[in-house]
Amino acid sequence: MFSKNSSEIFKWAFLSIAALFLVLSVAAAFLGAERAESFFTSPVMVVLWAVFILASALGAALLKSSGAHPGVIVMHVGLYLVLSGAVVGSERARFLSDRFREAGGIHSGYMLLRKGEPESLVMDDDVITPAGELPFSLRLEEFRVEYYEPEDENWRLWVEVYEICEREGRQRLRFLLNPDWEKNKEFSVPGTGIIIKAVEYIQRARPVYERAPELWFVCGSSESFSIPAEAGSEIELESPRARVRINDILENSAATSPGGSRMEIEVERGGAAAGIFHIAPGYDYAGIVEGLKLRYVVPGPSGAKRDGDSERPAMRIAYIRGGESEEKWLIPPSNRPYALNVSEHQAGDEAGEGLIRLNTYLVEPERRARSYKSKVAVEENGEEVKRKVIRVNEPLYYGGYHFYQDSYDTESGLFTVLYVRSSAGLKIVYAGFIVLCAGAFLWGRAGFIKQNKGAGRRARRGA
Amino acid sequence: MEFKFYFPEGIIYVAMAMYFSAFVLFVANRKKTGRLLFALGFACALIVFAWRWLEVSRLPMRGMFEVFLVTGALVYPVHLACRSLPGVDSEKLDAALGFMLFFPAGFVFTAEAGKLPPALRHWVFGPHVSFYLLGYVFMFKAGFAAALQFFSPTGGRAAAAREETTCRLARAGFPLLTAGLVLGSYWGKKAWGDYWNWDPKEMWGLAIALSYVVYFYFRSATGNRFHRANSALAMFACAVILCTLLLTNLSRLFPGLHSYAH
Repeated sequence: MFSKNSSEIFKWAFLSIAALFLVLSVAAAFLGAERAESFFTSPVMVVLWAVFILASALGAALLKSSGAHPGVIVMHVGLYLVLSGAVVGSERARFLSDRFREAGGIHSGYMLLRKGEPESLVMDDDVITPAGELPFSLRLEEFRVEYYEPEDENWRLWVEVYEICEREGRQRLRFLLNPDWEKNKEFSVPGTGIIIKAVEYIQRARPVYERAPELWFVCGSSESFSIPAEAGSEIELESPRARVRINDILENSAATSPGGSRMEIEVERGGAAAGIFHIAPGYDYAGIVEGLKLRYVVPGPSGAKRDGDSERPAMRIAYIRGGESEEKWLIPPSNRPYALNVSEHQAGDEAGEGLIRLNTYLVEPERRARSYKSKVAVEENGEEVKRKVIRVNEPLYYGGYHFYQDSYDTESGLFTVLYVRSSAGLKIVYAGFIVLCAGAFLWGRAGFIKQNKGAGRRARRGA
Repeated sequence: MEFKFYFPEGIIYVAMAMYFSAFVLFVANRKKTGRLLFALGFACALIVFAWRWLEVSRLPMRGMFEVFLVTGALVYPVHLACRSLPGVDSEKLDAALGFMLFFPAGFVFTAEAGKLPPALRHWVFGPHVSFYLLGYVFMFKAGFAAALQFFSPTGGRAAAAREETTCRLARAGFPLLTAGLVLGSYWGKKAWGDYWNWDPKEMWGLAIALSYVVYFYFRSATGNRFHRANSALAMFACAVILCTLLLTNLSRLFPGLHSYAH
């Protein structure tokens, strides 16, 4: 039906289209995804795509009649299917398809799901403008992020090196060191003669205290006395007359105090009704009991011990200078991802030559998300019709749409964002992929393992 | 320059030395010893691959060190597959190619292992990358053959034979690249919601495929009469692969979903 000539003409035409798309693809790579997408879906390109699709279909027919290898024909059929499927599922096509509209008529968008609240609204790319409404709704039941276990990762050391000018009372940041530390490996702080060495590192550690926390009552400049800071501790004061009772120690409260705890005390002043107060460590409270300052003293840890249940490490670090060594512990409190030690050292060989302040941080390595997932239920006409845990790489499929885990509320985990995509044309595209690959393998294998005889015939065919 | 003076990554230098020695021996026509060293080089690369897999608890095919390690290693099985086929056997070129592929892994890129972010933790990751790397080996071999043909002064039968070799190797590589592209597309659908995201790496992947389509169509349309032009197209297609491999993974020119740089 088709002459040899038309087959040749077609080859040059297809070659030109392929070359054109090649140039455009490379150009698009420089534009970035957004601009590439707008370009390739612009009206001009729509015409070119139509030509490409037509050429694929035509190619299959023409090449068949010109005696090309079956694999070549199959590849062109595959290409035709892929491109057609892409057109069917494209944004422009959604206006044309009734079935598409019945399913909600949404090409793609985002859904913000709040825990427990059913949602059927799909938003545009900006997550603000509505793109459409689904004929069913999704309800987020639970959301979880899984992190890679940090237990095998050593915490990192950061050292801020300040030069203190005593005369001017100022400090100047000289360096920021981030040594790749190893146990007993020495690092010198440039220009200071100070050497830092991690002497001990306990992967899972618990702080050890020489002294227990206490509640101190400070009376002017004279006597001060204390009671142990534990629930139930009580004291009766003579002058002023008061009774103070520690009700509770609240651990890991939202307070940013060093000890990470707050104390609840009940104070009865001279027969009056008792008042409840909350005090944080490290501050002087003057107004609670007249004439007395209350101070909740939480001594820092004197060291650390191994504790299998702990999720935090501890490091004993040595600062060595001129043969003398000073050791400090870096023990991160449970409410902070780092431990800080501030130390001052004499720099240089002569006294008064300069003071160096080192802020040594033991910092938690950044937790990397291993996976995040949303437990979602689909409701249609008031009934639950499907449940799924949506993970990255594992979307929910319902009603002609795929729902993907896109992102989430990193701060409090109260909402999750799903990406919605219509599945129109997808089956055609997938079929095209399989056909395209099958054709490519058939043809490729034949060409690679070719026998020497018959080479003349194949040389004429070319393809 | 990044040196790996630790185990197991340091073994790549042994693999490089083996491949290089094999090349020298092939040039000196000492085939038997050359083949032994070639095989040993592959075994060394395999050791690095397997040990690293255990160490990082994931398939070691991410990041430039691992990519070049695996591609260099794959040269050997491809060499074996080609050995029994007349016309595509090229020991010297294969050993040289393998050494050239190990070189960036040995000296240029850091072997620091990154953890896989959620999107990369999918079973398609292995096959997708594998098909591409295997395809690249065939295409680099084709490129070598094309360069030999293009730059050699002799014409006639020798040139035609070399050109034929280029085409056969490219035909072997093409379905592998197609499979890689299709799997990547399928994975894109699963991970990001669309089988095509117009990402620079995807556009370059498409450019690679189209380069070879242009090569095959040109060869066919011209009745295979212009050998040097064919070879030029094959070399151009190789250059497109190099751009994809190096630029998109490293360059800030092409920010996108695929960047492994940062």
